[in-house]
Amino acid sequence: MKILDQYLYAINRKLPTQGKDEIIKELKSLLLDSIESRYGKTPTDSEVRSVIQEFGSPAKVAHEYGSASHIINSEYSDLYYLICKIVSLSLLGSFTIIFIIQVISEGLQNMNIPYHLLQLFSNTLFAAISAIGVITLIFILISKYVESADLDLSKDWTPDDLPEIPASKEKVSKAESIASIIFILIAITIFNTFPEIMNLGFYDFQDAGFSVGHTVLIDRFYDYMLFINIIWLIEIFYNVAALITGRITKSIRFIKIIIGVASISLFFTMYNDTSLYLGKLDLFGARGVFLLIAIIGCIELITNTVKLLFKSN
Amino acid sequence: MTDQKVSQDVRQGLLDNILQELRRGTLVMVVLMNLKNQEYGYSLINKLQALGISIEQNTLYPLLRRLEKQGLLVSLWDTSESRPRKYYVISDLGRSILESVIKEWQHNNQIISKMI
Repeated sequence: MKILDQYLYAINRKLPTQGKDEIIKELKSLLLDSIESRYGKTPTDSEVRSVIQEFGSPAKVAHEYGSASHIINSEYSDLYYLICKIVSLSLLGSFTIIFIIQVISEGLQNMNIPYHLLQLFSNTLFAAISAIGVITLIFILISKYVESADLDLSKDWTPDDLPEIPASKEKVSKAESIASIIFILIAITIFNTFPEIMNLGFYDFQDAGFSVGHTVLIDRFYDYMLFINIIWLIEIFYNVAALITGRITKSIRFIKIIIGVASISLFFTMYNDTSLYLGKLDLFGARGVFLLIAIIGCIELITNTVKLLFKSN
Repeated sequence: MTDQKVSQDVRQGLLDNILQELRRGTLVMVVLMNLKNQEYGYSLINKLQALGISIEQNTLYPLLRRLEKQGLLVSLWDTSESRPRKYYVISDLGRSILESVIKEWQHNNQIISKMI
């Protein structure tokens, strides 16, 4: 009964996250009851289709399980709250890290701690308010756009409209995706507001008598930040898409490969760009880190490409 | 002739809406009354149909879930048979609420009967 699984999969995608597994389990049992009582234990494909058709389109069924219409579609509401929480926590984390770095670099006795704490609080609050505003706007637009494009609430819906279940059985680790989004957001905030972090520790090493080859020229580094930000934003998009589908599909893996190619090119360029560094051009310092990131990126890219080309599931 | 046809359609549409509202209003009471013994979704549909109450499956199943969330029903998964089934039965809270709802229904019924 492939068509039944496709139907349940389509409903599952439209349900809010909370309790969706149990709803699907119950619906499957009820639909099988309905099919069996009408057509016996070995129904034909068209008999299953007729029961599904009568039951209603996936959007209609999911709509019945959701609450009344909201400005943000109930299908996305859990994801919306999750992303708002992630963004707020990441901003708090980022500004706290910046605060700690300031304490370490300036010294506790030279700092006006209450002022900096107040700044930490207000920065987090205002950044969170504007970030949540943008996220809300995006979700409202998605809800509006998707709802107008979603024709399966109409009576014209037939089981032939059901999408195929993605073949991939490789499930996404939710915790991994959420952690990735948090780390990327923290990195975006820190590197954009405090790029000097690149040279943090250089002078301490020097004072301690160690020789670190070079420092990074922050002005030149800032030119690269635009590209780094773009790659990070695509990476966030990749993780959100993985969270929505719950499986690594071919198109999602393709996004990962694009991210891989872009970041390898970028970090190799940064490694080779001599105008980015001040001092000896050896591997002790940021230059070595960029090369390491590019090499790790290559390994990941090869793995993903092999999986995309040779893994049927 | 066409005008008459249109007004007939409008009348039918209005009547359908009002009757639907009327049925919807009594649905929770009907469901609670019929879950004094445990039933699963499909058996409840059949039971209601046998009593002359037709309700769409995709209206009843989400309603059962909502009533469970509100604490008016309790549920239990029976996994002893080949297909796991979720059974629902009225809770103590559901019983006491149903009692009050029935009283209200009888009260309204008396008043409306006098009006007819």
